[in-house]
Amino acid sequence: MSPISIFVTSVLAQNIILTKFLGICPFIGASNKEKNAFHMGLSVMLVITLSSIITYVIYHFVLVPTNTTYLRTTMFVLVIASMVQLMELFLKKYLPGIHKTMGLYLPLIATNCAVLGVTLLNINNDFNFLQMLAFSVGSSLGYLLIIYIFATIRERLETSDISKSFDGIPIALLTAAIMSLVFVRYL
Amino acid sequence: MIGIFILTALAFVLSFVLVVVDARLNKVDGRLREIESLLPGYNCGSCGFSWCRAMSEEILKNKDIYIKCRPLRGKAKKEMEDYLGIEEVK
Ligand code: SF4
Repeated sequence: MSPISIFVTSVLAQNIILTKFLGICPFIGASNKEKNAFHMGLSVMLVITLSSIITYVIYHFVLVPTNTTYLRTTMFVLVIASMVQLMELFLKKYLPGIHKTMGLYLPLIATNCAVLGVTLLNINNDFNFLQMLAFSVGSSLGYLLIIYIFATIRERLETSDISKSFDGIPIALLTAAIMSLVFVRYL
Repeated sequence: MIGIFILTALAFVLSFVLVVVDARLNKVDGRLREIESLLPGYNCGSCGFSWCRAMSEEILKNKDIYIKCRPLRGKAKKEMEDYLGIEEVK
C-alpha cells in the first residue's frame, strides 16, 4: 500500500476511535468543550507521532538485531510514558493555561490505548518507515478530527432540550454510537 | 539476559533526558530558596499563606510583606531585613 492511501484510510475509513475503539476514555472525558477537545487531540497527535517514530527506530535497530522483540510492549510503554512526561514539562513551562485546563487528562495520555495501539499496529503491519509515518500521522489526525467533531456536537447538545434521563453522558454515548455507525458505513 | 541490559539502558536514557529537561525548564529562582531559609519554617500559616514557601514567593514579589510572618522575631528578623535591604541597593 502506498503511504498516501494508508494516510487517507487511517484518517477516515479505519478511524482509530470509531472503528477500532481505541482511546475512548479521553474521547468521552475531554470532549465537553470544543477548546479542550482540540488541545487534547493536538497533544495526542504529538505523542502518537513522536512515540511512533521512536518506537519504530528502537524496534528495528535495537530489538530485532538482538532478538529481543518479546520486550516490545514494555519498551513501548516506557517510551510513551516518557513522551507524555516530556510534553507535560513543556506545556507547564510554556503554556500553563492549557496545562491547567487539561488537568488530569494530560498525564492520562500515557495510558491512552490509542497511542500504544498505533505503535504496536505499526509493527504488526510490517510497515516501512514512510508507511509508518503516514499511518501514525493519519491515525492521530483522525483522532483529532473525531474528538473535535464530537465536542462541537456536544456543545450544541448542551443548549438543546433533552429529556432528563438522557442528559449528559448518555446522550454523548448515543452520539458516539451514531457517529460510529456512520463511519463503518451502516448509515 | 541481553533483554535486561537493553531495558535498563533504555530506561536510563529516558530518565536522563527527563531529568535534564526538567532541570532546564523549571529553574527555581535562587533567591526563593534563600528567603525560605531565612523564614522560621514553622509552616504555621499565620502570615495568611498556606506555608513558608508560599510566603517566600510573596516576599519575592513584594518584600515589605515579610512583616506578616509573626514568628519571625529578633535576630532572625534582623537577618531577613538585612537580606532584603541588600537587595534594595542592587
Ligand atoms: S507566618 Fe512565618 S513561619 Fe508561619 S507559615 Fe508564614 S512564613 Fe512560615
